[in-house]
Order: sequence, then C-alpha cells, then structure tokens
Amino acid sequence: MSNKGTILITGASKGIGKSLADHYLGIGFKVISISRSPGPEKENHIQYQADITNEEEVRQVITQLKQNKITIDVLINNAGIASMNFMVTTSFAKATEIINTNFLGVFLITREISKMMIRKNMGRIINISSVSVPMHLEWQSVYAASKSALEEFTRIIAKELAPFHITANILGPNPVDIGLIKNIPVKNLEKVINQQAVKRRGELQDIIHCLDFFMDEKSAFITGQSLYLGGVF
Amino acid sequence: MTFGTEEIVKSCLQNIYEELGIHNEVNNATIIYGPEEGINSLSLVRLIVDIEEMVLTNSGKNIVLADDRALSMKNSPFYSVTTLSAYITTLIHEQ
Repeated sequence: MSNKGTILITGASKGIGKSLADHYLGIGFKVISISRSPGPEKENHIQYQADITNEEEVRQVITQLKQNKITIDVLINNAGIASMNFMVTTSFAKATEIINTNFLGVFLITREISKMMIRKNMGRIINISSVSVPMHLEWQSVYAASKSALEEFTRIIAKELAPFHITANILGPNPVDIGLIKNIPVKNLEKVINQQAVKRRGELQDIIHCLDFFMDEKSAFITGQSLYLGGVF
Repeated sequence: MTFGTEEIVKSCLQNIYEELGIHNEVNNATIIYGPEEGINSLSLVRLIVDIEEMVLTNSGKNIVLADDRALSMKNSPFYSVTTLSAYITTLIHEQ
C-alpha cells in the first residue's frame, strides 16, 4: 500500500513518462497513468487506456477514478507529440494533432483533475513544456506554439486555482536521451545544446529533481512559474 | 424522469452559504450568480464541483457543468437555482 500520495501521469507508457512512473512507484507513490497503450501491470500502478484528446474517453476515466474513490495529489501532464518541420511543409492535419495533444488534451485532463483537487483544497499540477519555447527553435513552429499555449494556460490557472491551495507550474526540459528526441538528427540536437548555458543533454534525474521541487509541500508559495533545464532563458 | 436536480442544487448551495456564514434560506428563486447578487466566482467554482460530485453519487451520471454562457450577465445557466437545475436536467438527459 502506498502512502506518499497519488500521482497521475499522462503519456506514461513510454519515454520520459514511463521512466517517471517507474521512479515514483519505486519510492512509494501510487501512480495513475493515462495513455493510448498501457504497459504491463505493476503494484500500485493503475493504468487507464484513453486518448486525452477525446472528451468522452477522458470523462470515462474520471468517472472510474471517482467511482473507485481515487483522488489525485499531483498531476503531471507529460503526454505530448513533437514534430520538426518547416512551417510551409507542415500539414494542417499534423498541426491539428499537435495542438490537440499538447494543449487541448492537457486542458481536458486538468479541468477534470483540478475539480478533485478543489474538493481536497490542495494539489500540484506540473505541465511539461519544452526549451523550444524560450529558444524559438526553427522547424518547431507548431510544436513550440502548442507549448506556448500550454505555458500561458498554466500561468492563468495558477491564479484561478491558488485560492484552493493548488499550484500549477511548468517544467521545460532540454533534449533528454529518452522520449520524443529519438528521431531527431544528432546534428540538430547539438545545435540546441550549444545554445544552452550548460552544454549537455538532460538526464532523467534532472527532470525528477525539478518535479520533486514543485511537488514538495514547502513549494506552496511557488506557482505559475516556468523552469527550463540546461540554462535556457 | 428527474433526478432531484433542484434538491441537489439547493443542498450544495446551502452548504456554500453555511461555509460563507450566510444565513439565508435557499429556494428555487435564489440567485446563485448574478450581476448584482449571488455568490462570488470562487464559491461558484466550489458549487459546480460539489454539484457534479453529488449528481454522480445520486444518478451515476458524470456531467460536466461547462458552458460558454457561464460568465454571461444575461442568460447564464448558473444564474439561479431554477436555471441551473434545468441545465443539469438537460445534461443528464443528453447522456
């Protein structure tokens, strides 16, 4: 039985999300995950299969959570899709998919989970963005725009939810050797890393350190903030 | 078929009143969120959360009280006990 609290992580079937789920399970949290293709069953890990851009599927998950009397202490909106392309060769279908997943999906999950947190009068929301936003990276116009929308959304809900003792913050990792960057050419990654103050790829522990900071009870006074890894500003 | 939506709204609103130290009796004509009277936006959020939870408990229906007219001063479904009850009944029947 877990006693550290309950974390909901979206996009936890692979990449950074999966690594985070394994980490928090390993140190005693109960983990709820929502993804399109759940992985193997584990103790204290409840997995739901749903497309976060589908309101009906999200509502079904929320209904099951409520019926099972599960409440969420920490929400990590990790699910996202990346795409590198020239703006002029980006299809409308791909642009729509990116916006839907990286912004509207987060909106849907956050709207419903924040209601659980409002009832408890406490909670932590951490939205995973990207250094693509402050770095204004070429070939990531739609991706960075979707994350910019997410960041502004986070800052405003930080104000709306603060009276209920819920914080909402943004973590923007730089390239990490897991997850979305695996299909990006090394040359392009090096170009990004060379623009950082600290010129190395990120590691999972860098991300966990920041998440732990936002999740900490003592971080109640920290909300609406963006934290980028690697010295990006 | 109804699910006692007026009773749910009145019960949840009465709880909010008690938390706020308001001693008025809630009835069908009570203004919930209007231009000149009613609870504030924070209490409205809390009321919505409580009502959704109670509707799920009572009817098994997971409704979402989200409407573009929420902040409208003219035709908000959150204006009074009567309008909100009617809105909830509509949502329940749509499922």
